[in-house]
Amino acid sequence: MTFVDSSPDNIDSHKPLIRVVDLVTSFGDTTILQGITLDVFPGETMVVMGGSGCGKTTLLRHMIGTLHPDEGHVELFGKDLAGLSRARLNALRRRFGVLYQSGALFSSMTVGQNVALPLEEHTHLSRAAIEAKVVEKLAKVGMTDAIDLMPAELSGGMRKRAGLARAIAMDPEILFYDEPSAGLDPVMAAQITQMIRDLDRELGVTSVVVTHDMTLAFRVADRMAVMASGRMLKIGPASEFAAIRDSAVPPPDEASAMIHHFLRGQPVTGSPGAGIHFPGTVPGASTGPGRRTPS
Amino acid sequence: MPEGATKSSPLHTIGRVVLGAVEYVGGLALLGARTLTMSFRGFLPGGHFRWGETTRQVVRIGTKSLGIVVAGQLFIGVILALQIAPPLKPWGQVDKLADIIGVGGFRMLGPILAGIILTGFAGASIAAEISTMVVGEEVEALETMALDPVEFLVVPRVIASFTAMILLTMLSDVMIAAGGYLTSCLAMGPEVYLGYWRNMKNTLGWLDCLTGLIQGGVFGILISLIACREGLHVRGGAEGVGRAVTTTVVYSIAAIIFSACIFTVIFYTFRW
Repeated sequence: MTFVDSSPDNIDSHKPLIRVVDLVTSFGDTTILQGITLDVFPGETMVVMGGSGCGKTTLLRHMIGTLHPDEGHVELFGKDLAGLSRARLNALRRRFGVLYQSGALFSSMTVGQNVALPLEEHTHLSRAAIEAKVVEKLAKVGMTDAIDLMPAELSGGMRKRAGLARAIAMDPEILFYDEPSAGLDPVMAAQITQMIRDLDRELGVTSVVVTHDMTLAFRVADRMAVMASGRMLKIGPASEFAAIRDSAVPPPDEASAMIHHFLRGQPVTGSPGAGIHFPGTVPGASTGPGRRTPS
Repeated sequence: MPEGATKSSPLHTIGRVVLGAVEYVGGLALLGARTLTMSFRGFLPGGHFRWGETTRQVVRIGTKSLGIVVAGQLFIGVILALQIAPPLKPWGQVDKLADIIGVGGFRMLGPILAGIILTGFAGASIAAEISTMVVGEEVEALETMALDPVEFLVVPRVIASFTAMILLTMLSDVMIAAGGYLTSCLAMGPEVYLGYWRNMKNTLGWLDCLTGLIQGGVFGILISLIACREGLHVRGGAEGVGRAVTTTVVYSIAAIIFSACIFTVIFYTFRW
């Protein structure tokens, strides 16, 4: 496995690990994504934010290769996902892990069996080595006691932690998180947030987090991208978004004003396509990787 | 669209239904072909056939349907005996009861009724299980873990359903015959029950047993393929799961009856 050091000096700032270029997707007559462009660089944590239904989960599904674009393309590790055979796509998929909103644990298997599954399927490790790895991964998320429990016996937060243990079982280079704090109480959401930070730091993975949880976003992000109605409003360092959020008056340009309102949890006046102009090129889409805040 | 034919015209409706049916059968055939390919690939060197999961599914499908197959088929044997005996009596042919029950049960009733029972138990259960997995993002999680849902979910269930149906068809045949014998003992004279098993043995050929088992196996494959297809194509949440289960039961029973008809025509034509 290629290990990417997350320290700023070692980040290869020239080659994005994930490239989304002019992505357009429609379901029936509804256009979900309208020309999304986004680069994610090695070692950074990119948080994609936006209100419900803005298309951020659809964007994530394109990045993991479960949806195919109508226009544009998505590259992962330098490979265009649309042009890959099933075997080649599966080879890429072994290099990333996904934490789903519901945890997506297999209900007929115990927590331990869930975590062991990718190891059993894709490695030639002995039973003892797999068991040791399962315990190690569950320990990382504080779930060793739940190894023999069935998913139905777990709380929402435990399911997400177990799902996270499964996502990191194969020591992935990229971790995708789909709404990691959705449906959790504030204490559990804070725990998950801390876990994402710890894992990013400990494993040195590149992370893409899709969320509408501001607290989580600002705690884990190196760079952020804010979407609305299938369009990308802005991409930039987390500090830039913090400045927009903290400014007393909304910025003069309409996109930043929308972001200002969104980040403050205020109703957004106007919406894309309703008088607000969206620039053809997204600011910061390819301006280089973010810098991970030193721990 | 021809002039005058509106979207709600009967021609348009017929066309839509036919196209939908062709698309459905085509999709099912493709799923069947992939399942077959992956089943064989599992046995090839380097392949990984899921014996554990397949055995678990055979036990699950088989044991779920066992009780109702035993009881249901026994009663079918009783019903057959009571319905067939009176018309045979005036002709002095009551001793032929075993022959008729044997041929009818082994060739057709055994597999058809076992298939319908399996549809209600296993078909509905498979559709509900897989569609719930789709709704809970488990199937997508499989894909992103580089595991093929067809290989992981469909192959074990189809092979299990095929195996369970053959075993259940055998059991059905025995229970229908036993039901007929029980009735002849309790409600008919010794001229019927004394020679019952001998008559049945003399009449039944190996082809009668084989054709029934072939049908049973095919019904098993059809039921599980339809259930898996409905499960994997579910749309919506709980409502979608319910719809997948209902559609599985309806389509499976229709597929069983339709394919039984085709089998009968083939067997009749070739005098099997």
